[in-house]
Amino acid sequence: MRTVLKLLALAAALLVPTACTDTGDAVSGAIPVRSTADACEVGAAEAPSGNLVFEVTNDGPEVTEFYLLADDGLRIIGEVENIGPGLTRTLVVQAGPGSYVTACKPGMVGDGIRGTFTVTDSGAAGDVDEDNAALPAPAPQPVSVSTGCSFTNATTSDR
Amino acid sequence: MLANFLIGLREGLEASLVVGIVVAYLVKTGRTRSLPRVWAGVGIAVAVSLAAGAALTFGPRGLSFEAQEAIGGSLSLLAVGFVTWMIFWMARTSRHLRHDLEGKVDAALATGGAGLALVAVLAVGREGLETALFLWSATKATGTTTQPLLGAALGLTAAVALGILIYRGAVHLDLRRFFTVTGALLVVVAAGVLSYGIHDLQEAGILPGLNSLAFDVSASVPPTSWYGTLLKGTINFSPQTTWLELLAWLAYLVPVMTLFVRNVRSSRVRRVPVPAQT
Repeated sequence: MRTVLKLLALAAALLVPTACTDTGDAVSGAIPVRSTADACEVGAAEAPSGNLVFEVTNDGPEVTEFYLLADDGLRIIGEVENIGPGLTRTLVVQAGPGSYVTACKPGMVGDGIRGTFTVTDSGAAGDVDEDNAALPAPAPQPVSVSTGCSFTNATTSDR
Repeated sequence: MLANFLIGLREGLEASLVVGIVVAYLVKTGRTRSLPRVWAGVGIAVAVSLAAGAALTFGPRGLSFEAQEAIGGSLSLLAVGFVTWMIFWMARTSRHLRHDLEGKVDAALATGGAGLALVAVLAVGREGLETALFLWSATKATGTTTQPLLGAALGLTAAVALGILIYRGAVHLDLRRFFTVTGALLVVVAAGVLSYGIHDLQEAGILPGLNSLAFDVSASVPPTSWYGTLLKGTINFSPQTTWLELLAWLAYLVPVMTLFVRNVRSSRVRRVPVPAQT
């Protein structure tokens, strides 16, 4: 049992840097993205700054990925991978006002199918530093178990 | 379905391989007493991943990209540390075994059991949340189609089956060869995990050089192919590898493999040049 306690302690230690982002308001404003073998249809050309939520559906035959890139087309602002055929996955990302590039990458190779995306100034926080990735909520939200934010210990993203 | 099968296989393979080796190790050295701890660790990692994944998929909150990359990168680096510790710990234990130093082996296993459980936890947990998010989104899709979930589940099952095969193969080796083969394999796995962690940090913009590639063989090893999947799932081979990833991979693999081989060979050496993890 001592081991189990140690493991739980480790889990707790890993929680500390965990940053959660409230998608509660944003989900209603989620931007649908449809990725196919030869198209990347982003449901909106612009969005107000702050929390952006992309709901990426793969309607193609191959595994796809979705990226939000800086306007140089190189720096990654956010990405979601392992979107198998038939799946819908969510990318939550915080973006300040400016121009961005969206990209779907069917087959997981190449530069992807790109488009431009504009984030308008809503007054909401944009570039949030790494240590404070949680959105400043209007009122402190009780972190309940159901939020998943209090016990996330194991995660990774695939490349 | 095949595409989702391959994702499940890729995500499950490395964990399955590492857990297979840990279990084979405990069985071979007759320390089955420690097995429940390892299984408890695996169980906790799976349960926590699934619960967190479900909460993030169905709950009102999502994990920001930055947080996911930072956690992914740091768990990878932590996993590299623990697997490195395990490699040298196994090498040392094997030397004691060859010299019939039963007491020392017992002492090592008494302290090492918890460490092995942690290795299993990290091996599963590292890919755990990403896999859980993938699985839950496949579950969500069952309203329209059950093919993705079926494919994903079969892929994970295949990964577990391969882990069992590795366990079976490893358990039949004689002890000396067992340590040499599994140790060398773990060095290669750990080097891959390190390079993967570097890539995560490059994607997050914490490390530079994401776009300066050392090589790009994605035309001959497509990441969607079965062999691309197996290479990625076991040794984290990426068809598009950046210079920094390649350098980190070499900077880990060359010295660690050299130390390991020297360690396994020189049975007379008393002190082991082990990195700080012990």
